[in-house]
Amino acid sequence: MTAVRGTGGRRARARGAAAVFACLLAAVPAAAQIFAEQEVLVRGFVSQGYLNTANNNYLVPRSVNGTAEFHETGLIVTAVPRDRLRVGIQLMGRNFGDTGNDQVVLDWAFGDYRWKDELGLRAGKIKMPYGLYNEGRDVDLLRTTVFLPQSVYDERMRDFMLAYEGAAAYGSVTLGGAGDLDYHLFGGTLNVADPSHGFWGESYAEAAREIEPEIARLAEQDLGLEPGSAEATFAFIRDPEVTFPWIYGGSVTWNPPVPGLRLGASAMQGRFNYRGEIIYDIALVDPVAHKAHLSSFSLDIDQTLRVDRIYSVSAEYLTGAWQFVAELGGTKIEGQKDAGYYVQTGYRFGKVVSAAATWSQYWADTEDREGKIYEARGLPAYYAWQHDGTLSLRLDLTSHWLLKIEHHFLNGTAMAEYLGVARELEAPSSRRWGMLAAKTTFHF
Amino acid sequence: MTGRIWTRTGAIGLAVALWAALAVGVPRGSAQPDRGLRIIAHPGVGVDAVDERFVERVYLGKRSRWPDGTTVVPVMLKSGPVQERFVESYLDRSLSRFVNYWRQAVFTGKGVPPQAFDREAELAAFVAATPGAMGFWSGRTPPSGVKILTIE
Repeated sequence: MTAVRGTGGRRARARGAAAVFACLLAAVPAAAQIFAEQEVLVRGFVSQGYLNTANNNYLVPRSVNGTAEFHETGLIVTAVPRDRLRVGIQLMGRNFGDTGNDQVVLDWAFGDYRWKDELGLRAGKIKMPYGLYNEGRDVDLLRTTVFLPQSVYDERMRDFMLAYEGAAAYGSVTLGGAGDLDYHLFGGTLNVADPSHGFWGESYAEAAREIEPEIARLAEQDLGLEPGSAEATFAFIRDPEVTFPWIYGGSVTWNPPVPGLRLGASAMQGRFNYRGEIIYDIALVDPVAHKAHLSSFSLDIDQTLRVDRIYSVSAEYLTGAWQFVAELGGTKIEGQKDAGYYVQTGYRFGKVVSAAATWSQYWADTEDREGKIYEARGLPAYYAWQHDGTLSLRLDLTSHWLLKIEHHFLNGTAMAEYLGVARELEAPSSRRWGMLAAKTTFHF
Repeated sequence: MTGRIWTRTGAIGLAVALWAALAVGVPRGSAQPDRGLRIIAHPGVGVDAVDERFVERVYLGKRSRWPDGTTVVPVMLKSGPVQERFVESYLDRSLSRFVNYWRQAVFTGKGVPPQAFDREAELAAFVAATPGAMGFWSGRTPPSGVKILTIE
């Protein structure tokens, strides 16, 4: 679970994946489109990005130094073996800071039996229906922006918002003169692929560091030391596991008889367990006087948390070259509620250039939007929110190659705070800060 | 407390109102449907007329059956002005938006796009030979072996 991977191995895997995709791209005719002649469809993409933040670290450790550890590779195969039945699979390799490490994983894979237009059934690993864009969040070529707005599509929560393993009922119901309604109802389980890194790794570390003084007291009793003579330092977590034994929910999208308009809502509920063994290093506060006795101490954790709800409400209007989107979303986990929303306007200038402007607001605790609780703890109030104005530019340089660049003007650090707390990095220190992201994608 | 709620509600309301005003204020870019195209089908298809909404839903992958319950097999062109005209007039969207719609469906596993051909003659030949097939034709003289559907 916590396999240590050498840099050399990681580079070799990245080179291998790049070579495979180079071969696939070379095999694709220049004029190939998304529409194919064959019944087995093979598509793919490879993306490389760059991320740099000013003043505060965000999304990846030490982002203030800039990082190119930001790439994805995906290969999709879909086939229709018989009438009403469809099967598909996507393999994906990803590296984002210290998560993913280019390990090829099953992104989604399912069988789909479409009994009627109003009712189809899917089983397997299926993309989570949340908001209008969650199912395509890993596919850079589907949007103008580099990142989906973080107030609704929190990158830190990607691992458990991406896909579930289970079954779904879906369909499209005609509402006569009122348009039609698409729905997707699901139930299943979910396993976080690598909880030793990224958001989950940081969460484990944060929880582990909070109880270091208590661990030191326990270690003193174990080792027969005087009270106050030992200190405990979190070292690492062994065999972490984050699983959802069950999760269920659904989404509905109403397409009213107004061309280009769709309105959606989604909601889900579940429970998740996190387990693992936290390892602490134990050291004597005064090693000379006590003839230095070093040890380690382990603590098993096994906890279940209730996800009361994860929800979104969405509106999208496409007209001519314009795109207008507004979405809000939030979670309630063990009674703690966060929430955010964004509005976005996009415009396509001909076939090459697209641009988007996004305004996004997020609050980590809806009961403390102004940061009073943080202030009472002696911390900056701006830890409570994160507001983000983003300008994005996309260039479709050829039919297979695109380039994007965007700048985020940020106020508040609600989503950046955890990196500083858990990582022993410099805690967020600037209320106003910025992020530059660029990405290029080849696709076929 | 009340002031805080009003401040928050006001900020969100203002943002949404600005967004909505901008959205409503933008003129529609789409043109009137171009009837220079005819919808064609395999001669064995049991209907003679369909409405525009039916055509749109078929090409968006939301409708997979003819009204008599048999499978509909939509086909189209890979690119070009006829394809563009069909998408804009019958599907009420730009070709790039239509391509993006199917990209999203393919890359998330939600669907397989209509089969596409390089030339109209190939498309018409496929429709003539494939039970349940539906396509379009821009020429004045209908191709042989297909039926022309009336759009209601």
